[in-house]
Amino acid sequence: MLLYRLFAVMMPHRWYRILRVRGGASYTCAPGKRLTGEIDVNLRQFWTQLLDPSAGTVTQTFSLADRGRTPVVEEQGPTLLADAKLRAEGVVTHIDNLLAAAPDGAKAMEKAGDLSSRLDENVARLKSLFRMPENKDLIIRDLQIATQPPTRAVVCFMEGLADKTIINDHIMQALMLLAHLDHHVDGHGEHGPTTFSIETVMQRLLPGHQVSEKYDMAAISEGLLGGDSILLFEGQQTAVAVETKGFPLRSVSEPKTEQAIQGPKDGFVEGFRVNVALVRRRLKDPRVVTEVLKVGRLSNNYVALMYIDGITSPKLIAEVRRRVEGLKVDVISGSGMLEQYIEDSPFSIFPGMLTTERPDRTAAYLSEGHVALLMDNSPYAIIAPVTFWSLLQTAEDYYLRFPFGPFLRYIRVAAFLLTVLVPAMYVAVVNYHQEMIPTELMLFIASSRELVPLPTVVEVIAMDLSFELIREAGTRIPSVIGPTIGLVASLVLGQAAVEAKVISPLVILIIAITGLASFAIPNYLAGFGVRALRFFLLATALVLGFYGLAAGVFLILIYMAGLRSFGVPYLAPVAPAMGRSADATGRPPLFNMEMRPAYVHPLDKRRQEDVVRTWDPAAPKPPDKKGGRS
Amino acid sequence: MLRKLTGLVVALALALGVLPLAGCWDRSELEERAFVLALGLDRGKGTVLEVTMMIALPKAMAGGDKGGGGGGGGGGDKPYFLTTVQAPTIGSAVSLVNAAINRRVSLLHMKALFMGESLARESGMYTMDGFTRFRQARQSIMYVVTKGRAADFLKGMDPKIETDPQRFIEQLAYNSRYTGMLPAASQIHTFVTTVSTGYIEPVTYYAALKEEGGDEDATAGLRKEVGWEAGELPRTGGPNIEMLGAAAFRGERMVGVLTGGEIRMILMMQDRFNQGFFAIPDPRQPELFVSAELHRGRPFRLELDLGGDKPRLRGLITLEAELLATQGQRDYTAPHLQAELESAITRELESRIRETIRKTQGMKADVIGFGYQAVRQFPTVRAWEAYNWPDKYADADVEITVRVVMRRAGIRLRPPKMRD
Amino acid sequence: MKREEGHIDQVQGVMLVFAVLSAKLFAHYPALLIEGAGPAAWQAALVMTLTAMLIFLPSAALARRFPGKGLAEISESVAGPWLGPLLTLAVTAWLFTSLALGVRLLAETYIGTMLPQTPPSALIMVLLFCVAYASYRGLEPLSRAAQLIFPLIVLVVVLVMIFSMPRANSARLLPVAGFGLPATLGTGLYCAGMGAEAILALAIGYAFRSGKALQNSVLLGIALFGLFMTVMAAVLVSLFGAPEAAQLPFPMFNMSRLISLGRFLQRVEAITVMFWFFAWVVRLSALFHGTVVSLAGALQLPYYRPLIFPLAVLTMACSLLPEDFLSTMDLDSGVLRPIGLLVLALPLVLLGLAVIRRKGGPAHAA
Repeated sequence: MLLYRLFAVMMPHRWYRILRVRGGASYTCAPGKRLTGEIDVNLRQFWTQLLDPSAGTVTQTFSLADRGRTPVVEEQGPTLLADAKLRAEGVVTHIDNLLAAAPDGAKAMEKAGDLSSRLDENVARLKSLFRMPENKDLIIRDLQIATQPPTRAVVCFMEGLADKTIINDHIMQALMLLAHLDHHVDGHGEHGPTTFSIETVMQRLLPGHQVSEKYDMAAISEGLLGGDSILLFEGQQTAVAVETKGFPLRSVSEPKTEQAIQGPKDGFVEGFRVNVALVRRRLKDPRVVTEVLKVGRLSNNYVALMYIDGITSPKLIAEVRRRVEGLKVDVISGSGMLEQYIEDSPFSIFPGMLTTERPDRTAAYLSEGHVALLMDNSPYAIIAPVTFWSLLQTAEDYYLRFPFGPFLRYIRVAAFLLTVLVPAMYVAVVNYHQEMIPTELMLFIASSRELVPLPTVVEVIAMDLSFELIREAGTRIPSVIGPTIGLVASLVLGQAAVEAKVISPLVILIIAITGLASFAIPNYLAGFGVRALRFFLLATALVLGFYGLAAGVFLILIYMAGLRSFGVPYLAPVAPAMGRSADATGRPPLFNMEMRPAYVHPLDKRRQEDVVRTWDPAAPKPPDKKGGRS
Repeated sequence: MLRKLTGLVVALALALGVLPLAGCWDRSELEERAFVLALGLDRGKGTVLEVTMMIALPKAMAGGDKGGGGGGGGGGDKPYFLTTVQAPTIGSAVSLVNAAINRRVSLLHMKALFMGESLARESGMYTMDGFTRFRQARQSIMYVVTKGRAADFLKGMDPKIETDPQRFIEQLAYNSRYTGMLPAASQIHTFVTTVSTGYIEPVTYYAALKEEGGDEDATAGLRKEVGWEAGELPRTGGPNIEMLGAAAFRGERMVGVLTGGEIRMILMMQDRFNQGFFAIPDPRQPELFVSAELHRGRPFRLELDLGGDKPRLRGLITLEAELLATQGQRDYTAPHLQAELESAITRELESRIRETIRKTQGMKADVIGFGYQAVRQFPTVRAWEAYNWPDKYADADVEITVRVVMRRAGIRLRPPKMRD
Repeated sequence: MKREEGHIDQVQGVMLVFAVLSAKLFAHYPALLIEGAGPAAWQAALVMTLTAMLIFLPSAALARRFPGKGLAEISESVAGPWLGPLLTLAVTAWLFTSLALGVRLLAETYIGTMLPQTPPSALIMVLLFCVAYASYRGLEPLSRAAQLIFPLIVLVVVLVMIFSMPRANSARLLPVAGFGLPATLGTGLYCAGMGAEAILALAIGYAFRSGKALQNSVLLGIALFGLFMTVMAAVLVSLFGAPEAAQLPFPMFNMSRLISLGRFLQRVEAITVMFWFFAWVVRLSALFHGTVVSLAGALQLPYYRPLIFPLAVLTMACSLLPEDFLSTMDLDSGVLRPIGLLVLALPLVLLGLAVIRRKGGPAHAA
């Protein structure tokens, strides 16, 4: 049975055609679908399928449970009924409106929604949709618009989400008080007071910067929940939405996780409009596009998809859009969650998309041809696609001069290697390859270990785990004493352990180096992957010394080489060698980086002229351009 | 998907989990091993070897411990101890020692192999296969022949300036770079390579413990400068270990001892001589000496004529001299006297070289390496082996000329005025 | 399906072929050359390179004639539905034997030098797990990993050679003609079988974008390998002298044991050993993948992945067949290499058949 399971996992999905569901029903599925339930292998069909892949399929039966829908519970009855009633009313009204508008043509039919022309009916439906009077958040304000004759209207907005000043000053004041100042000129050149029409309201009476017409309840509720104010008029089947967003927002401050000493210090906040603005300030080009998508049935969270039309590959944009729009979930509350839903390999150790808190980094990636996802209520931008080398880069590398920017990168690469390899190498050398240690050091270690009761690997693991413990404790402690605790704890712990002869001093040194090196890795998510790798390599080195260590490193390498992030190999541009981008581990002088990285497949490959510093007498002569770009 | 993977993962985990469960076969902690720093070989009773092992004591080596306060662990000052066993092979010796020590004996950190002279002359390095085959022994182990028994040498060894014997051993050979009184390299690797290829006969370090007293006969050769054998140096006090000169081998057997002066000449002819202090008898006043530091000049040039029944070799050594000291009033910084000094140095060196070569020819051992030059004249290995250079060398007609140019004279011009 | 495998470009192809061949540098093959040709081993290495490149030419012509196809497809289309798979099976069997012997060699190498008490099956199991996982991931990740590691391995080899130079004496390379010209030529020709694994490139021929890419990859790979073998032979002879160097089953290991720069850079052979493992595991993964793919093609299976696990188990069993290390070495050098020359003759046969039966595009189509 186990053997069959092994087979089953390695077989391609097409062969699931000949598998049987326990309980008698044959089950087939189109290629690529996932199976639920137990599986059996029908050997006869297996071989027929093997020899003749075009063997026919069998009919399919399924139950609701297979489709992932949970059956209805009794308590949900009344709610479902009320919702259904509302929807039914809406549908009926919609049909009525459509029939009424049909003679007027397609344009009129588009405008036919499910609002009735009676204001009270609309308001009643709105109230029941929003569960008033239990729900105290929706505010409904009656008013009269000062046209001739005065029209009854209603302003609705959500308490807390809408800016009340704007509503008072620019909606209510404008409509109630200032509308009667307006005149219209009729065909005879006579002035007279304004009569009411939606168009008049939108064009002449309502000083809101974004106004739009809404035709059905769904749009109205979406607008309300977004912070808009909705105006419903007596006798009109159209509602007007005015943008009055005014919810409390954190002000732009320093990014918490990515610091740059020499560079801008603004970071993203929780409102995606502000974030998009921060990015747009750095890319003042009309080709920068922000598409707004919504995710989550319950959360309806906005996700801004930013890219540069003309540079970003359209396939990439389409793929990202497809993945985000295809999500049918209840709540996605943060970019971390969104990332997990749309990643290529959610079980991989390393992140497949980059999260950054800095707008300058986001803008840089956008200009290279990546796509950025900015989610509302989340102070992070998600960049796709990403390669492994981006995890070791910071924005600061670009702001520093030539040898020093790349130098920092080399340090980080070295830090990565150190933090992953050092504990494993120590264990391998001390336990298996004792001839590698210089004799004096070896004798010193032997003498300090004579009193220690634990084997080397237990020492290393114990110290590593306690280091992780200290780190986690330091994060969770209230921020006032957080950093101090970390320092004190590690010092005291280490010293006490050595004094008590539980740990030998060299192990403390090893673990300290490892821990410090792990802090040098800029990406927070990669840090977790690194820790996992470290323990894995420690285990392999424990069993077979350098042989095991080499095997573990090779396995990790193959694993990383096979990862893809939105179709881009994870280890590009180093492997496979792609183009002239030397920007992975080192960084050539900025004026030499003329091409965009090829692994993103940008439409416009060149980002700089060949010779930029033309004023410099030491710079090479620019090549002769005989028309067109190279 | 996760459910299917679980089965696979469990299967793989069980399969690979066998490894750590069955035990890590080679894993050992450092404190479970007893590391041998040096090995001494002598002829034991009958045809059996007498093996002396110098085993390190880690605690004493580390200079006491923090937890122990002053004055390291139990007993002795020495950070090692010696143990001697009689065994037919080194492997059996290790087994026997393991019967007395709770830690597993390991040769991984062995630095030097000391062989008694009698064993070296009698059977030579007939165990060299073991040192190149056994994985614990490295080919970079130093090979030293001791005057007398190796066991006595190791027992009596008292470096004084170092407490750490392995450091002492490691650095013993480094001085040759500056004094030129030791062969260029004496490791198992060089030994085995030279023996198997046969272009040159091997030389090894030769060490001895200073004998107390008994240096009356040494007065006869007091003018020998450094031409002493190890163990006979005219000195008292200080560490009792003397290592200079070399033991000359023919094949794997030792055939003679070279003095410090002879090995310097040999190094000059091998182009490995860097610099050294020389005391030349003053040409006009034979009772006094002129001290000069000689450096290597141009590379050694050799012309070989293998035509006749005896090989004819003509060589030229070029050296540069720096005047260090004169004893007396003669001003050797003056140009015409410079030439005199140069020719004096030349004469002295040429006579020393002639003696050295005669000695090696007497031992029938081409330790100098003329064979490397001779082989150029043969197209194939078979022709070379047919010629049989080692035997032909004993009758060769060798003439080496030396040319010395005095370059500098220190930081003084004429010698100080003396009132004698 | 093989079409899912993706493509490798010329650089990766060179790297892969070079990886497969040059792992031999770390094993006893230089000793073979030195034993046959004495101090003139480097000349024998040159002869070997040229011969191997020559022998590979029919395969290159075959690849150019059938661009984008692997050995299984070519032999099936050229030699018919019965003979074709049989020929492919022959090549597969040879690749498999080379793989099994290689696995055993590597395990024995480690046991002999670094881990004396570990049973071979433990090392082999771990090794085969790595190899099978690499093959499972596919050819592209494998070649990318090779691209990443191999420059490091080359660097390490070069550094080891440089750092052990102080002990080298170029006079040991004399007499120049070694044992004489006939011996040199004979050794070179005999050892040309060392380059026989290049047929692996033909087995995974579908991954190359054009026949020319395949041809260039392999020829460059063999040339690079030959260059390194020449240098390695010369360095070994000048370090150890011809009689000793011929007796070294693990030349790189002994070479790195000699390194001692000052008092600091000593005892680095364990690190060399780690890179040794990388070189060998890439080679064995490529061999394994070639075997699996050819087998799947010969049996006309649409997928190769189900064969990975059984083949891994089979490899482990076969690698434990030889009784001891010495017989493994003898099998490898005495039996496998001459048969390798025959195996390279197989593409010649296929090429002949293709020309006769007028199959495939003209030679310059790619």
